[in-house]
Amino acid sequence: MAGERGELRPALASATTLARATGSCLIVYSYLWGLWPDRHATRFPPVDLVREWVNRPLGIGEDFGMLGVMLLLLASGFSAVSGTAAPREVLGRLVRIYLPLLVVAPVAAGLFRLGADILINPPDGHPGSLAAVRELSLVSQAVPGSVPLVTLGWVIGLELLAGLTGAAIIRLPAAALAVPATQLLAVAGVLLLGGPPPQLALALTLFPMAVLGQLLGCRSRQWLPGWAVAAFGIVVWVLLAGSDRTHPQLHNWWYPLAACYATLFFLLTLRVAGPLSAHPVTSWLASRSRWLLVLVGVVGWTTLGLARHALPFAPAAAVATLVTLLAAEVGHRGATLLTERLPAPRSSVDSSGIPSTDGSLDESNSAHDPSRNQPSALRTDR
Amino acid sequence: MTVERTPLADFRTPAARGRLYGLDVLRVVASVVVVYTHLAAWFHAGNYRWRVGSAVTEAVVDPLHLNANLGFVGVSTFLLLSGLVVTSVAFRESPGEFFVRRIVRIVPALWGALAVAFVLVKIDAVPTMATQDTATAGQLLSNLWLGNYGLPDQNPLLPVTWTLTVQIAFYAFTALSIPLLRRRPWLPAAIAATGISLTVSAVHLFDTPFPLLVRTIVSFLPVVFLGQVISLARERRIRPATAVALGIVHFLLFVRADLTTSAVFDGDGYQRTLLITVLVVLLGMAAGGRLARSGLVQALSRRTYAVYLVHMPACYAVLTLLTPRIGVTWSTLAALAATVAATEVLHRFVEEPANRLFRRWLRRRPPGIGKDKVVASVPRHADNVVTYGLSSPASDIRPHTRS
Repeated sequence: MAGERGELRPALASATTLARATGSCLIVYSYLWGLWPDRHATRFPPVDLVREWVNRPLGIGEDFGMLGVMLLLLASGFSAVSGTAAPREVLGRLVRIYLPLLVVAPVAAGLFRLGADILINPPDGHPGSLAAVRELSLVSQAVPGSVPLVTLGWVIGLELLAGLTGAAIIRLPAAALAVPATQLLAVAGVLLLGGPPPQLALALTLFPMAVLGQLLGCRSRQWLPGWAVAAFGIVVWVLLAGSDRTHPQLHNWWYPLAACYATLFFLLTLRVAGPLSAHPVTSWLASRSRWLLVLVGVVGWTTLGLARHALPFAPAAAVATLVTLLAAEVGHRGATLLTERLPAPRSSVDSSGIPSTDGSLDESNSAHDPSRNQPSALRTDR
Repeated sequence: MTVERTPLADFRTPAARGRLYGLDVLRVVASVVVVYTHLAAWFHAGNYRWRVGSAVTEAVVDPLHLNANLGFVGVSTFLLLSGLVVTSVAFRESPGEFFVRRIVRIVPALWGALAVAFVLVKIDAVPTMATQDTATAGQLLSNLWLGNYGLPDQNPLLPVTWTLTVQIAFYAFTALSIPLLRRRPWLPAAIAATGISLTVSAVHLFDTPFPLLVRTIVSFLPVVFLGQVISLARERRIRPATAVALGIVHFLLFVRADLTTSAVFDGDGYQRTLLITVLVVLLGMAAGGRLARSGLVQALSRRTYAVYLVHMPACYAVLTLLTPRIGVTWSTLAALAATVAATEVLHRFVEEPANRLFRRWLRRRPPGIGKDKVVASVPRHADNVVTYGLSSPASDIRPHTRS
């Protein structure tokens, strides 16, 4: 681990690669292979089988989608306390986080105007003329009744927040206790006392996962003692469980359980990421994860709708997955070109903790669809 | 917590890690959880309000959707650790030696605990555990060799002993498969998976106790084999991909057992519990901090089998006697004190002497009679080790190299 206090070994930082890649896969599977057929009255037996044998017994709802989001948030928080706090670097890091949303939100607006079938929640909702503005200003989740254009876009907001507060921690490692504490306190205040709208409640419920990632990152840089991380971990747990209890719309999705799996898996990847992290496919998925997650409900969803006219579901979903991957690659490369002038992270590890040999537009985010009407593995009738 | 990344190779190389101190901590935690489970169950059965139980339910059980009273958390940990530790030992003992050691480790303490349970049941001191008519000579006799689980009209004097049937089945299979395990380490787990699957398909009717026993054993055997797979992967005897594949197969067998019967599983949180346990064990294996290495943890770890056997009669007798008189809190403290005392007595006066006698007997045997060089090189407390995954220096297992 850290050779010297405050230094983060690239090996440790790259361990988040596996978590990020896994999270991306889970979300692409969840939305294209799980949710789409449910929304379009299509049955795909293998998915049903997975639900019966894995999702339902393990209590992982939404076809692993939210588990994937949690993994990404943990990785984002962990990465947010790596690198330096130089203003140009922090700015570059935040731009890299925001760019996929900046690109995809207008695309989503255009596709929607053209009548394309993009992922909208609720399914019969109408985003409205100002949806793209709301999306880009990151307030979609906070406006009651708003219908986001990029359903998966809210995680960008959480990542930006984690990136900002992470920069504050890097700037002042002595605040490694105060900053997470303040974040958790703020979340608790809004969540438990403020009565936020359902979409915001979901985002706030999951934000502590990013804070937990920050705490683990701080621990890995020896800015925090183990007992402090454990104590904060309990606070995170209390928030998750408390929110689950106080917000009926969240209760049926068993998020605390998914958070438990995600945290244990993330800790394991930090310990034993091994050769899997170094595998080219893992690195590729991790470095494009933010693009994948933003694109899946826009490009992937639309492509699947179009392909389904000509193909059975499985090949259509495979085509949609490939197109999403391709679009992510295009977005990644384009953004790399655009941001080449942005300051690179000091070390060989970029803002997401992924070795920045390929341009370092890495993290992804996704979002949640609280009103997903799928007979997911975890139904309320359990 | 140390977040330092350990490369997979280091993690799995015993030489790089030596004793797994983390397993001692896991054993202790598991035994505490088992005691909690049975305390909570007793209060629940008696309609008492136990604040600790309510708090745990609210903070852990409900959010994680586990079985009531954390049921199966402790047992799954013990079963997993048992598979993990016993497999390691199997590479340096002959089949007969291996099986005899495990049985010798199990039986004396079991009989000691059964004797105590018999007396308590006979005087009707533990009605929640077993009814008075269970305390007959015939029942005791069948309980001594766990025959109560397979014979008609027999009942357990000590209900926790059902897990020993799973353990012994695993030991028997492992003993028989030792030659195979050494040549093709992945094969026994694969054969076991096939056997378990076929048995689950074949055994459906539970009109007599024996099929239920068989079904119970094959339902929980995958948990122990998961431990075996972890052990083989850790010692680099099988490739990680093979370990993942075998692990998934055994996990799905466990799911299948639950999906296809309701007679064995009491609650719907078994799979969730098992996944969490597997992840915690994988993480805990690498723990080696001051706490894990402390003498207290190791001493407690050595007593976990005794705790497992005696906590139920000790706690229930005290609770039955005292709760109506002094209330929940004080009777709980008294029950825990009784458990500690009973554990110490069983460990000091039954477990340890029996192990000493067995070691002495082993040393006295002339060379060549089941005492091969491999066995002779086993550390002194290795036979303390590995039986139930409960006892202690399980983690004491020394490094192996691929033969």
